[in-house]
Amino acid sequence: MTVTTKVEPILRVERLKKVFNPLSTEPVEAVKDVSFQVRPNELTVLLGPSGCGKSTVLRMIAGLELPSSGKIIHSDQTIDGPARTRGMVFQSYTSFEWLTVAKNIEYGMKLNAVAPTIRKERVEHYLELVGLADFRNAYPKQLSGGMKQRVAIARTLANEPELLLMDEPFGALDAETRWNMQELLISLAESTQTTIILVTHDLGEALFLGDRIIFFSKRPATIISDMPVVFKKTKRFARKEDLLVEADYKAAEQELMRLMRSQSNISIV
Amino acid sequence: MPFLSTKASYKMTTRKKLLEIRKPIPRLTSIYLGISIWIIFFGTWQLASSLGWVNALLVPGPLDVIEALRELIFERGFIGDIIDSIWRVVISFLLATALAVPLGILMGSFHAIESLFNPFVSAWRYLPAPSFIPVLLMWFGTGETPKLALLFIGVVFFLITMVMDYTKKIRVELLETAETLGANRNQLVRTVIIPAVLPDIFIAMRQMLAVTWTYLVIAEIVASTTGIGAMMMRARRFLHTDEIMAGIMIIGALGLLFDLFFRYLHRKLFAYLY
Repeated sequence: MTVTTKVEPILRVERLKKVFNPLSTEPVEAVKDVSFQVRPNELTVLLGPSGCGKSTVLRMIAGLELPSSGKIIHSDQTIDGPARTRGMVFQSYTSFEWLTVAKNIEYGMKLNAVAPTIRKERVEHYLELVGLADFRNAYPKQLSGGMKQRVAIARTLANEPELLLMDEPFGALDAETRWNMQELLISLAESTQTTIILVTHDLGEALFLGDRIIFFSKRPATIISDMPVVFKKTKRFARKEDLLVEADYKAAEQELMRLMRSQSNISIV
Repeated sequence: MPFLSTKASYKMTTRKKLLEIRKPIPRLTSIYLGISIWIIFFGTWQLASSLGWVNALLVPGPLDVIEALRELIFERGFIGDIIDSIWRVVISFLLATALAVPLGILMGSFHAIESLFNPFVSAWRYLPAPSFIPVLLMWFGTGETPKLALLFIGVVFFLITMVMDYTKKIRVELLETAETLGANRNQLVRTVIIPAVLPDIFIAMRQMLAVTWTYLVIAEIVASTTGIGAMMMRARRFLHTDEIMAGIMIIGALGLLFDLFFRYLHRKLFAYLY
């Protein structure tokens, strides 16, 4: 993974603005002015205080919300709605409970009329990758939260999107499951070479996962800082503890903490 | 001195008190309790009639009612009435379902369709179905049609509303996930909305089937010569209270059977939920 400026961006976000209920007496400005670009294979983290509008930015990239002004260009096309090239994983569990694990993973490919033999192959491949091979015939009701999120990730990746969008995907999981899932995501990013944009408000998660962190202000969102996680020296860490011993990790965390505090709406003391 | 006294907590959990707030009780106890209320009910009833606390003509004992039921079934062709009633319930309920389920799903999925039909459906829901009996009799005469129409009107508008509400309750993330996997509008309805709402539709059907039985009795009491309700009205003319009560019992038993059937079907069809 190298971050060079030579590579053409896969996604260009240009002067994005979003106002909810623009015609009401109390319009809500969620996103003020956001521009950035994403290069292929990059793992970009959108970080910021709760309710800052970063999820809205992600939803606009998915095509689930349309911008009030500005535009998002993905592979030379302006986004005007959801598409299979931009798969989304949500914080809440979205497994289809009437389908088995294997059928869930197959679901997107079936929608897009992928040939049955290829579907079978990819289902097996992704069952292995996310460690759910023994649960192929289980129904979501029988799975833990972490397993449900693995189903969701496998289902999205099996559909081979150009962009994997993740909206606080591990937010509902317990701490142990969460770092397990983070390490799984790193290995998936490496093995599938998928471009990933992930929204979180967890500093540790951002530093562990991100090749690059874009920090948003409190609502209405603007970009306060956009930089590669330099101390990683463009490589990713498979295990979280290896990251913690890096010389500049603490400084980076402090810097993010300072940014977070400056944008926080909560002040108790 | 241990930090946690395990003995005390052990005692707490094994104490066998029946009335503990929200604590489970043994399954067998629960079955015994369920049966005992019926024993108390029938016991009190039998006692009251045997000891002459009540007028035997107006309140015959349970044994008399069972004897009347036996006579009705084996000597007076009551089975034919029962079949007539079941047929009316099933046919009208199937017709109501055939309309309500697709319409409810469409109304719950598309705001335009909801805006078109909902003011109409809501208004009809507030009109008591039996008030249509006179006009239904004038339009359709005395055959099966007015009875089926009454049951249909009594159920269909509630069913539409319930199916619509359940459809609206489908979590938006499920739909959005499917959209980002490439689902178009038809695929969303076919592969997400319908399978997601189907178990709830079965619950709505189970509830509305009970209501259909209510309207059946009204229809048969007011305007019918066959069926359980009609039998009960005939019995009234001859002061055969035991037969009336036998009819009530049969309706109760049939309602319970249909309910159990729906529960069984729900478990079979939607095994993934259990």
